[in-house]
Amino acid sequence: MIPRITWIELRRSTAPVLGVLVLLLTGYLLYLSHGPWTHDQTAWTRQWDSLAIWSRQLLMFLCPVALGLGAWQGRRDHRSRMIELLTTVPRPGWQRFTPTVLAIGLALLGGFLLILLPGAIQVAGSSTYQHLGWLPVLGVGLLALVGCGWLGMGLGRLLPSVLTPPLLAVAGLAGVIVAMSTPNSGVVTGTLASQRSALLSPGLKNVTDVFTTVAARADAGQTVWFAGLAATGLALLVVNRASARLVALLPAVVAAVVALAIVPATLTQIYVPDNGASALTCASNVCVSQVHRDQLAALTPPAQQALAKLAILPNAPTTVVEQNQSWTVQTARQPGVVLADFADPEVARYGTLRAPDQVEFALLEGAGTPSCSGTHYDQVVDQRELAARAVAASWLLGRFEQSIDPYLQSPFAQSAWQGLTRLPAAEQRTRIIALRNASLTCQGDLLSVLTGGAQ
Amino acid sequence: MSQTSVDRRAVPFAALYLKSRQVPASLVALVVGAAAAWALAAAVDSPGLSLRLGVLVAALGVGAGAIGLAGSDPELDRTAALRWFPRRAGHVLGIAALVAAALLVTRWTGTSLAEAGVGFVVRDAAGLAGLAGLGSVALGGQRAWVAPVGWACCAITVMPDDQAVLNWLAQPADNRPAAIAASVLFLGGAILYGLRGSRR
Repeated sequence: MIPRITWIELRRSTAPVLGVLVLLLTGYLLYLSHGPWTHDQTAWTRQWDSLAIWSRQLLMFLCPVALGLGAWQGRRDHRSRMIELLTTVPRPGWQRFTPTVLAIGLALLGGFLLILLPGAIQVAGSSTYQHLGWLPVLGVGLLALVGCGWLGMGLGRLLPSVLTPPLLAVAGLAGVIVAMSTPNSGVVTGTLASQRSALLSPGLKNVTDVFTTVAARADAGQTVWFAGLAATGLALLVVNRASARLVALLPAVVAAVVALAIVPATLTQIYVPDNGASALTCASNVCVSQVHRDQLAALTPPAQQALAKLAILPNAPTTVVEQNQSWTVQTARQPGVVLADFADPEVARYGTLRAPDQVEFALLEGAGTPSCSGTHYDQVVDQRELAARAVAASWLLGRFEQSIDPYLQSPFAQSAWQGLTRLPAAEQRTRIIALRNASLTCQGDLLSVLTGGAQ
Repeated sequence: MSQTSVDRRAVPFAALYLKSRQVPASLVALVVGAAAAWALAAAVDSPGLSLRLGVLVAALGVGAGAIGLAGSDPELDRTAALRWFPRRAGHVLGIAALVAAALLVTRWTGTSLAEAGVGFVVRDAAGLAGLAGLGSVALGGQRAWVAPVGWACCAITVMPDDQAVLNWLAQPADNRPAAIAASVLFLGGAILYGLRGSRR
């Protein structure tokens, strides 16, 4: 009986409206606009973790809508003026609500999963890092969406006013906004409470690299919270007495307290390194992460050419290793290792390596050292560093070159190159060695080191 | 005799119309919601938050007003030999005006929910009210709120800022494409709802 009525409810209740709305709203954002998210290697169609974490951002607006439309569904009996009639039926309330609850849940899940399916197919086909660690992140999102729909139903039955659905949707949105805003509001910045309370919203931080995932404790705390919301919603659907309604609110309150106690307090504890993603695969002296394993064969020739050119320097690096940590983590600068950063537009685009000579140039920049700043391309300090790094690579290559990326080209490079090549060969080599040492410790102005303090 | 009966009916008509459109309840929701948002903005002094709260109050006011974009019995309404167009279109205009007014009033207090300017508030209120009218035509009066509230949810949380036409809610007051988008929505909503009324 329940499956048959569920099927009827799927067609006749708010469920189809909800499902179609989820499809339209998210489908538009994901496929027709460029959305708030990135389209490089951290795009939602490239890695499982990216798919799961980006999908959670959609919930910031889907959950309020689910709350509101759930409330619309929940006040249906009141709307059709049949509550009194239903009280004459000698059957428990849950029997009547189960099909509707299932229909709303299925519509929400179906719409959301359907919209993610094409992305999942792309990830399954293209990613070299196949794993299941992202499932809890997506699972929490699904629970949040369904939980909000059910909570809306319960509250709609509790307060069957025609105003309840819109007000509940806006209240949900207000909750999301407040959770989103507090960490940056300037009042509670950096306080432990703010990061914790931000996790009461279903949304997560933007994906900025492919080596980060969500901590299990954050997932666990959010699971408790959204399960509590769902439980309160379901309880409100079946209870009738005022005292029982108060008890029905308990799961949500208890869940909030428990969740806030469980979830980590700081961003670095919430967003943790994904060791599976950053695990290195090596071929001789070239190593790449699991995420870019398919690029190993392409990286090896330019990497070994770069190492051969660097070998003329004392204490030369002997391996090329992918930069396999989040850029938010400060990595030690090792003289024996040249880092290949796939997030660097000079090295790779969409996670695929650029042409071999471009990769070689990028590896040789700064005589095989990572950049010291490189975040404010318009500032003179960075332009001077870019020039020094490009000239060092040019010297090792034996011809003047600059980055193919216009943002990484420096107006100082040409004159620095001319100044360097006018010097005797031994002096040129001394300057390059000095630049390499300075860049390894990030001490002083690299261009001054290269030009002997002339500029 | 006939003159007095017309007069006696003329005054109650407006009151009855507003009552049948749940306007008193919507007004209470708008005022309470705006006051709550104002208190929150005053407590947490953050420009980003107060801008979002302004859009939120607009969504709340229009969402609450939208439930009245249908009488309690649309079938019965249709039998009345009244000129519906000005009444219905005026209703959409009234929602926009009241919501904008509720936000603009806060400019005279220490904490403004209309920091982005009069143009910003009027544009957002008008565009959302138009969406409510369109929602009423497409989904029915009691579900009309889905269009403006859903759009606001999308705009405030994840919609990219650089798409002026789609994210007209969040653009600066002098953005022309956003103003055009909001005007089209307002006129479309007012005219379509004025002509067709809510979905049966």
